[in-house]
Amino acid sequence: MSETYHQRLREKYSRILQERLSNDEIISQLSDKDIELLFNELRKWFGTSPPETSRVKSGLKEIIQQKIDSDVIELGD
Amino acid sequence: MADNYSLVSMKIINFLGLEDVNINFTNKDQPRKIMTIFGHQGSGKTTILRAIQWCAYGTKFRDKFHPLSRTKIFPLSWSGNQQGDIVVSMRFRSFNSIEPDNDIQCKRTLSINSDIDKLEVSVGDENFDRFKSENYFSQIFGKNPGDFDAVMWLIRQEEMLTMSKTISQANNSTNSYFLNFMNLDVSEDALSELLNTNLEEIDRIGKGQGIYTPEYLNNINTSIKDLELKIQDYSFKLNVLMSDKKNFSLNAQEEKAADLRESFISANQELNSAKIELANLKIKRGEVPELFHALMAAKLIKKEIEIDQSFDGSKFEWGEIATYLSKTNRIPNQYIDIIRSIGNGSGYDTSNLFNAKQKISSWESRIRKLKSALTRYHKAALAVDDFTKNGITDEKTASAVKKMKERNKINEEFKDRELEIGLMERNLKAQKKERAKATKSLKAESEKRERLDELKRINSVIYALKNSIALSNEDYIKEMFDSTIQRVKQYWNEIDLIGKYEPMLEDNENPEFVLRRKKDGKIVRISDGANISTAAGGEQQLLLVCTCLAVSESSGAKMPMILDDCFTDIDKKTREKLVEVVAKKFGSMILVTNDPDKGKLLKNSDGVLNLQWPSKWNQINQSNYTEWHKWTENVNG
Amino acid sequence: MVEKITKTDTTFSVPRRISPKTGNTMYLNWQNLLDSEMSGSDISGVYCSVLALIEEKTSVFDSEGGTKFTFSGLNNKDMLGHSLCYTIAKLYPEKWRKETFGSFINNQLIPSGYEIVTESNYMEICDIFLSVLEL
Repeated sequence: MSETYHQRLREKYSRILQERLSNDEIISQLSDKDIELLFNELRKWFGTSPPETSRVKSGLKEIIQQKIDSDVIELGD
Repeated sequence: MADNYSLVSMKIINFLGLEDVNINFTNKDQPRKIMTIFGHQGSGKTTILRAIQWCAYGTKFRDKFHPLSRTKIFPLSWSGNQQGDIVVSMRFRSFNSIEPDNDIQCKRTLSINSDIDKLEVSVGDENFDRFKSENYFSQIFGKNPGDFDAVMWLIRQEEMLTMSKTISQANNSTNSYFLNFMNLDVSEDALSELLNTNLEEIDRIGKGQGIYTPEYLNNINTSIKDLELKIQDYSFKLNVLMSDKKNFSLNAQEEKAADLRESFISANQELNSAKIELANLKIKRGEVPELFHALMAAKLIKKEIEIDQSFDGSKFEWGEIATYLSKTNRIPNQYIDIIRSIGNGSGYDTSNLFNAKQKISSWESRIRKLKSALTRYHKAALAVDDFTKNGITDEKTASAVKKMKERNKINEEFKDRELEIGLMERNLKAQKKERAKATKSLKAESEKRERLDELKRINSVIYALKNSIALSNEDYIKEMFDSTIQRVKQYWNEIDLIGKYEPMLEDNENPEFVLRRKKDGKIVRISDGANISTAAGGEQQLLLVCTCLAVSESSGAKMPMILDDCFTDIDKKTREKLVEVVAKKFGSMILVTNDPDKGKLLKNSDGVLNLQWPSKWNQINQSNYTEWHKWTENVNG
Repeated sequence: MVEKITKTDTTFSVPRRISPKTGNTMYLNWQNLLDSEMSGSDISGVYCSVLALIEEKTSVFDSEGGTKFTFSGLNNKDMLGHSLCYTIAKLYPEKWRKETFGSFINNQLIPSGYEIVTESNYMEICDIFLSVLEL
């Protein structure tokens, strides 16, 4: 097999998550590029042991706070 | 991180009967992917498995009946009291790697005086701290199962039923083992931490409201504008006053005239007063004779000349009067003679002179006063004259004073205006300062609001991510559940050689696999594995095994799959097929058995680890462990 | 008793400059001691004479003419003529004779008195008065 079972599990979850992200009311307001950035950052750690939570946090923080354009999000009341 | 690992070696110290052993799982330095551990009951097979489990998950401190609770892992010789450190070390190598450079080494230690055990993990030269170690481990071994849960990579006869029931729990999204592999906790924790950090900042920003409002700023702006206009207006008026000042300035003469006005008036008043006094004292025409009489009388007195009381006898005919009177016979003759004699003499009438003697002193007083009044008058007239000679007139002084008053009034007004302007300018300065302060504050408020909005947006993204993950988990669980069900059937179809039954999922509150007899649809439930005694016993066990395999597979476990004597009732051929399928599917497998036939089951195995533990040995240590375990290579069926 | 020797119609004269209508105002109002000018030459004559009597000035002057007057008016009301004549008679008894009184008055008293008038300011006139009034 070119793809291992674990890889298939990751693919399955990735597919599901990707769909959920693009259907989410808030996330869908972001640009496609930004959605992809977020998705890729999360996907990095599927089925692995990341070095530490702080590294995951700083990776996510960088994407969320600096790289994506959250100004497009409409704030509710 | 790799997806599959092989066990390379173990070192066990004071774990049950294994006092001090090293087990090497390699063949010519290469890990054995498929192997068998063979040994009779009590040879230490289960101990090895327990050691692996303990190294993976640690001591079960709460449940003292659990096989991995503290005292349950003591060597018997300790009689329930810890007498040294308990240590189990393992070394793993990923399928992708040939060299030992990136081997994962883990060591769990339960020290004699410690309340907790310690896990140390390193990859190559890199040492991990406790959290990283546990995280890494959980990827290899899966989450630490609860006290009554099964271990995903270890299919053990007595736990197969428990493991197969995991399927019914699988649909529970909060506790589904399907998610163990994905290791989403770290991402979720990271997102939660980010969220909390932002919420704290939102809370902090929210406190300390500014005191300035846009209305306040508007009011100040208006006030400043008004003040500026007013200052402008006043300044203009000041300029007008300035030119008025010039117009009403007095020259030296006018200044002098103004200064002299008072003394001028005073001099004139004095003159008038002196005139009045003089007029009252001046000698009137009618008084002149009296004065003359007084003067003459005074002169005579001064000369000690007595003034006779004489009269003018010629005024009347005294002889005729005497004659007449004598004829009346009423007046004594002596008197008639006197009367006749009056006519004889004619003197000057000195009656006025005589009377004037009484007036001398009053005239003296009068003349003195008159002299003084005249002096006063002359002095006053001189003074007034002096003004006139110097061109100081009533008109001039009056007009100079009027001009000066005007000028002074203008000066006063000028000064007042200047003061007012000064005050207004000070006020303006203060207001401008206040405006700057308000502007800065409002800008800061605005920036705060912007930051708040930004944080809220970011948080809404974070919430959305968390929500997406939660929903994805549900979807994934459902899909995995469905695929696991399919996998059970697929495993069954691959392994079952008899073909009498087929597996079926009973769809109720706690879904459960049952066997359905193909010819008549009879349902056979999986009873407690220990009491299987029906004809379908072997099939039931196979169903359990297939279920466990499917569950293990879908958990994404990275440990080598360990089958521990779990198919005692399955027929030989089916057994062989089972082992073949598992070895192929899982890549890395350890078969643990006490049955020599089963020991030969693994075709293409990388070796058999034979364990022998004579009863005379209480423990295995450096003195006897080589005797205790021996490898047999390339076993063929 | 001093015998009368003047008659009411005996004429005397005062210099024109101290005579009303022709005279100097300051002389006529005694340098402002009077509230109005002397109204007749007779009063002017008495004024000069009284001044001369007070000052005992009896220089002899040539007769220069002037405005004539008599004592008749004065005697009718205030007996000034009487008083003056009496005073002259008492002070200068040797001059008070029929033959000499006329020239004594016209050529000595009146001119001397006139000289005092023309040479004196108000203060001096007051002082003249006061010199005799202070007893």
